[in-house]
Amino acid sequence: MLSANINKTEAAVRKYGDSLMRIAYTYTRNMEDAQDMVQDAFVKYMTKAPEFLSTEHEKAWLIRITINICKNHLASYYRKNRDELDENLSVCDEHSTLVDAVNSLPEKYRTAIHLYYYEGYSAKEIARIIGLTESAVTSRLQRGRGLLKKMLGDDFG
Amino acid sequence: MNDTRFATEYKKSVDAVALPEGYKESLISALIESEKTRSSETGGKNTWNIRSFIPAIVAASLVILLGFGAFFAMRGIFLEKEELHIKVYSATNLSCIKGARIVFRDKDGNLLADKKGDPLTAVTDENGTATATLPKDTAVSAEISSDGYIPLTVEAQAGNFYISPVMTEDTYRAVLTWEKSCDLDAILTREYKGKAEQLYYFNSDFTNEEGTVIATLDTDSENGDGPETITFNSNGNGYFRFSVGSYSSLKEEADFTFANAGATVTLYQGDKLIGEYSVSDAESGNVWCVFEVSDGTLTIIDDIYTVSAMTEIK
Repeated sequence: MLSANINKTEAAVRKYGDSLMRIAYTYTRNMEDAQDMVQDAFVKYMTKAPEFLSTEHEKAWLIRITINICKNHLASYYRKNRDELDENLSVCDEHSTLVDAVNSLPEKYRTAIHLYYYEGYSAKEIARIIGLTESAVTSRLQRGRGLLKKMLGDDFG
Repeated sequence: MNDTRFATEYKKSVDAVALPEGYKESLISALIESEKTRSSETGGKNTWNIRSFIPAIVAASLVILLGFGAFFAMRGIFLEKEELHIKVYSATNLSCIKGARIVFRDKDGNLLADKKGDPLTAVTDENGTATATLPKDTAVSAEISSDGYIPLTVEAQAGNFYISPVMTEDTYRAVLTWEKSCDLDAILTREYKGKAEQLYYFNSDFTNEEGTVIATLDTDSENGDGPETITFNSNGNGYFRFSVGSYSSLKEEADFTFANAGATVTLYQGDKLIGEYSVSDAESGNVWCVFEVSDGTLTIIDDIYTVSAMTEIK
């Protein structure tokens, strides 16, 4: 059973690792922490060994678990380091890349924007992954776009 | 920059952020170590020598015997009562219900009374929690009611209880709960005009030909501790079958049974509780077909069978 689980998990790491690392990075904003979050997600994958109906289902499950782990991590980190974090998370005036711009958005907009523009999910699919209604996701996408437009000016919209 | 160009530029920008070199290999190594540790913790006991544990077993037996002696001695001295903490949630969105009223009855159906002789009643606070002091080791039932919800009668015990909002007459709701930590899923299949579809977390609603939602997965248990709730409208919408699947048993739990898991399905229709169903025997299998509704007629099936993939559930 050990080798079967490991083989399946190794295949999943190779297939979805990059996507999950990039999603985790939008939360943690550093690769070391992102890797820890993704590792926790794959430990859950390995220990729960869920049965999936399709590869889309499998990927969506992993994304959902990764997001939950990141949120829990940030919640506990924020509680411990509230003052320091508030200073470090101030929004920069200039963004060297679009990643920086998106990563400076509040978390709820950032996740929706990343899943929509990078992963190519529809609002309905994002709603299922993060457990919201489709209209809530559409609203987050619109507000996220609005904030990006303000930050990027003529470069967006 | 339009939407499409933004998507292209954003993808380029994300891809330009380098991922740590060799991180997949590090991840895989860490996962192998983690799995080995887990495996040795759970499977290593097979290599133990039972003789080395004999002194510990003898000592533990003595402690247990002494404990039982003390327990029965104390029982004769004190009146046995226990405090129960009951938490009441909505079965459809898992919000805590404030102001739910709970009354208690003995095995003969008589209301339990407090010291003044008034019916013993507990009311949930803003966290959905109610506390009651009841006779210990005595069969007592708890009736939970709240405005807009269907009353639910359960065995009075500490724990979480899920009550259902009132629905229209042709609507059914099934609430799946279980006791042991395992990965159970509520699954609804529908057949309509020769087509079959399956409701699960990534396909969490069915719509009819007009696009109206006729079935939803109201709650999906992500952490394996339940509940899972499915609601569907049967009126002219075809044939429905509600089943419970055990995903984890597909993998490694060969001795899994729904009876061991303590799986229970509470079924409602309209404003009524239809019944509570659980598996009493030790029949093995990873799918428990609970009931079907065809042309508005409910039939309890209670059949257990085995599939090799959840897509095979009919």
